[in-house]
Amino acid sequence: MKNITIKGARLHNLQNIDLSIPKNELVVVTGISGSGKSSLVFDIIFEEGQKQYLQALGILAGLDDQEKFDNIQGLGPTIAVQQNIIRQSNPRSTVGSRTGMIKMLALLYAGEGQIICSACGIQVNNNLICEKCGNNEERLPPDYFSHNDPNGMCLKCFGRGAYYEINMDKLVPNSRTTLGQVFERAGVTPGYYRLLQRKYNEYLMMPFAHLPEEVKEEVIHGYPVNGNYEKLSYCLTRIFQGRLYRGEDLNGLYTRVTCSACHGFRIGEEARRVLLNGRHIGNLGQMTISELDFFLSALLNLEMFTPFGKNLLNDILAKTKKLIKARLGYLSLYREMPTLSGGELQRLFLNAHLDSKMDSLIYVLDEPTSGLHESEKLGLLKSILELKELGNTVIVVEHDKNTIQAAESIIDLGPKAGTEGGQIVYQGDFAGLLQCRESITGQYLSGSVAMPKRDLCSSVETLPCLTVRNAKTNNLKDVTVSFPLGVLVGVGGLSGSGKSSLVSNTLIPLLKSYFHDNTFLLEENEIDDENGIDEVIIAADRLEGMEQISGFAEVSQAPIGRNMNSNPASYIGIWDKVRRIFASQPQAVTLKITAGHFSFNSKGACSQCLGVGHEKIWLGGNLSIDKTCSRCHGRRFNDEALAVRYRDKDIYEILEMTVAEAVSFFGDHKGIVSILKVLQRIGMGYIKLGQPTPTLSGGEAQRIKLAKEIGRQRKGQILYVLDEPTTGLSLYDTARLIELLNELVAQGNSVIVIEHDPAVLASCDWIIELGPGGGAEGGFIIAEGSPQMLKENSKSISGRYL
Amino acid sequence: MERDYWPTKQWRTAAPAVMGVNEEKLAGLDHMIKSGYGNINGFVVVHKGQIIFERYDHGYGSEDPHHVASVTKSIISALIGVAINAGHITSVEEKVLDYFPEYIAYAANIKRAVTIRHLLTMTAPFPFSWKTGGRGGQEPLDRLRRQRDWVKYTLDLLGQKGQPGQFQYYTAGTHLLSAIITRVTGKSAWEYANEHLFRPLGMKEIPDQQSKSFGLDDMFGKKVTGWVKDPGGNTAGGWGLTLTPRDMARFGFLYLNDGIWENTQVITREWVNESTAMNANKYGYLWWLREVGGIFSFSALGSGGNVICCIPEKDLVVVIASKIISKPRDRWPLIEKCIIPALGG
Repeated sequence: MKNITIKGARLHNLQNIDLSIPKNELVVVTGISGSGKSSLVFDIIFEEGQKQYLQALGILAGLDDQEKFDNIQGLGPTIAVQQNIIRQSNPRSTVGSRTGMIKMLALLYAGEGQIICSACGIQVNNNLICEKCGNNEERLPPDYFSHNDPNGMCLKCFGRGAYYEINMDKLVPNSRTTLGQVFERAGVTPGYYRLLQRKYNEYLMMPFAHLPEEVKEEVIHGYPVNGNYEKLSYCLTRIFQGRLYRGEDLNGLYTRVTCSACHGFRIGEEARRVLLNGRHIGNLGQMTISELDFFLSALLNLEMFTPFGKNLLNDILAKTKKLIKARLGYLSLYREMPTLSGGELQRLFLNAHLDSKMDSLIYVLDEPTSGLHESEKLGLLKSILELKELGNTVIVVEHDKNTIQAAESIIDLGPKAGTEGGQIVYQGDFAGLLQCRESITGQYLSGSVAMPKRDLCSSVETLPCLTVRNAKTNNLKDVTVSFPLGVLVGVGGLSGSGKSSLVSNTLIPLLKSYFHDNTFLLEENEIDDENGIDEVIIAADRLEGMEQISGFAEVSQAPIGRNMNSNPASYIGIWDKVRRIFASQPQAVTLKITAGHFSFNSKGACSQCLGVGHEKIWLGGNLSIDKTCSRCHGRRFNDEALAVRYRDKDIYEILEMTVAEAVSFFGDHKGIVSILKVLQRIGMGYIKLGQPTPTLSGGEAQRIKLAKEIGRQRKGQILYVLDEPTTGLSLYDTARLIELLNELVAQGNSVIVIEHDPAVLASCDWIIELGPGGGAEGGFIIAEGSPQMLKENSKSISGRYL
Repeated sequence: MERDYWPTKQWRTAAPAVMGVNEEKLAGLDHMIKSGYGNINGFVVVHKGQIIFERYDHGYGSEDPHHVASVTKSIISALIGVAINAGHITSVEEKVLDYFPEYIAYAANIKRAVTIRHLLTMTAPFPFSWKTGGRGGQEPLDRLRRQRDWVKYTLDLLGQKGQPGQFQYYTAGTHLLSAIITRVTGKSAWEYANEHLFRPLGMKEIPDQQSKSFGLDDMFGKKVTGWVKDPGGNTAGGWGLTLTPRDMARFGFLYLNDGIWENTQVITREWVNESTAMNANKYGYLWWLREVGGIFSFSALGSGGNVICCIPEKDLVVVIASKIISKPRDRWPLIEKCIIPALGG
């Protein structure tokens, strides 16, 4: 069949649409956020293709429980590279383990590595005998070189290369600090403190330094108990682990330190004694891929390998070169997958698929240019077209102009979001899209509707600044940077040039430290992905100018939480209010149901699925299918909770409402509506109140966080820091975002955005550009100034695109 | 149980009918072994103190010893009982770390709490241990054998992961027990066993041997002879013992007789009872416990299908020596379907 034909697609907001998608082409599906793109492309095309293929293989037996469409024909096996699927990666998964390069290097070391004598430290001869002491060595099998294998991993950190440790010097600053004070410094809540009082009694008044050894150990490490999640008694370790999990700033008291046994190399002693040209596999794991490529090429020239070894080396070098070509050369093999940005993940997976050379597949990609600098996008587009040239169909959800322009066929959904979307507004080529009056996408792309123009501040140089002195974090080259306050500042540069290192890993931690130490207020921070937290080594001399702001808010793309029971309503804080409304309804009072009943973590949740609404059925590997809970049929609550109605809706129906619907429903509840309206203004009106936060895209999560920050009553002169807020945004939504940021600045706040989007950068009052390259070739400030100044600056790479 | 002889020098054999056993039903055993259990090398059935069935395959004879893998653990269990009875160890509640005073333990609350009982019942916390339901179970024994100091390596791993008190099968834990025996008696387990178990029972004694190499074959494979030792001279606690099937039967017979042998209490009756008392984990002191169809049995089990199965109420010891392979067929049906039904009341 030459086309994929779909009839009657009606999932979520799709309005019973029919369409025909040409195969063996690059097809781009576009439209504003919430128009229905993901529902069409991922929930229907990808899932149906996967399901049909698995059924054909006999793995799956019809799990049909949803009427998503009437008919689909012409599908083949589908492969998706979707950001929020990948995001839930296992932190043991590293770039090296995922690309298979660790296994290949392990084979090389196993077969041809040079072994050091375990007794006297010199290299043994070809017969594996130490000529100095006569010791016989044995070759290690490949699994001894893999940090995820019980035989290979370092036995102190179990292959993670690092672990969390309490900084005792900081926690117990002097010999007079009492145990009670230690607990306070560790940040225990008053309730917890009472528990500790019962347990430790008189010891609380004693100086920590004078406690008996066993008591000290129990206080720090605890002992195993049953009956709680951590299986640990009340102790400092448990306190810190809890705070870490909740994403609290620990102010340097509990930090991730490099493993003292393997020094971060992740592997055991045995493997560290096997070298190639003086380096063991742990050294190679920590190198950037560019450095690895250089090292291995030099190795090949040493001519010390068997034909098998040579072939293996060449295979590994082919992989490194491909990764360098995909602009990922600055990554290392040991880099943990959850720490990669959405764009990096996309390119990594795309790279793997290009390696496979299969044809007649249908690839479904989710914003592959996300996170890429303008100059890097063309390179990626080339790879995508290559994928198509191999004989595949490539369907891409995108907002990026370059990609839309390169498409052979464009499908625009809309016209707007939610119930105002879900229709096919345009299908055809690029020229036609620009002409289409009904298409908001087309209107913005053609320039018929202009992006909002801000009145840029002309006297930025005279403004007060926040200055970071001598930043050396990661690849930053000892730079001193001043961020003007009271304006919109953009931070640009190629992938890996150091933008995040400067802003997220230097400026933010310095601000956190300053505000925590001085105010003792534990700001409510986002729940960071526990496994994605890297040790914060503040490698800068100091921060200046913080007195000029009264607080800050970091709005990153990190997921809001991994808990399926967390949703936008609970995150922005209206859920408690809604529950109280329900608890005050007459039926609730009669049934003696309290607000607690309407939360998932309670007696109100469906007893089978515990409020999730479905069960995951694992098919093996990364594959799983969600099956609606057979008890509550997806309604998440038990019958008792569902019996209570407010304005003729039960609690589940409230969760199913979109933000837009909720604004009109809760019209008279100011406390609820005001924050919902902010969400609407950011373009999130289409989000359902009860959508599980792990299913949100990085960009959606970020905008919800932004709405929450903006919705807080704050004193003004707040510094907002946003990390690539246009991820996942169409031009229309980007326009709304610029308007919102403009408002923030007009109210007297400061905003710093890390961005690639030329439209956003062009709207900034001031731009700081890092570069010139990525990794070791980056970390310099190559240009600073207004957009106009950057355009005229020959050293600026971003300036050309403004 | 009254015995009219003790098989110290020799086992008596008897035709099944003489012992009240149904020959026809028992004949099914030969057939089942031949058709379904290709890696069995030796099979002995002792009922009422006499051998009623014996069979050797693949070139093995009655005098040939086999590497019995984890059956070794049950012998260590017996030796701990002997050591306690002799006063070398006060009780199973003693803390393991007390026997290794030179070992410096950091952050050791969990380690310090581990007792000999934990090691005997496979409830000591270790990473990579095998848990009920088949979770985990990648204990890196090959990595263990490459170490210079198996005891220190194991003590380092003790407590790193795992919940104390939960059943988690971990072979190296038994090695610590062997090291403890050496610490308190001054003798390596092979010597201590010769003196207090093998000699009294008439089992073949283990010769003193030097392991020159700690390669895979020497430690686990074809080159295993006598009883394997670690580089420090400690006898391997978790595996590595070689026994003839008839000797395996003697050992099982000792337990069937509540620890008595020729009017001597070789191990105490209390120890036998404590070691084999049924519990929720179905695992005693390095003995696997089973209650099925109203019949209680306790077994020493080793990789590949090495078995010493004792069924007190049937006065039965079933011994199976097998070649160590992965995923061997379950031996229990042989006992349940061919042997037990053939026995008299």
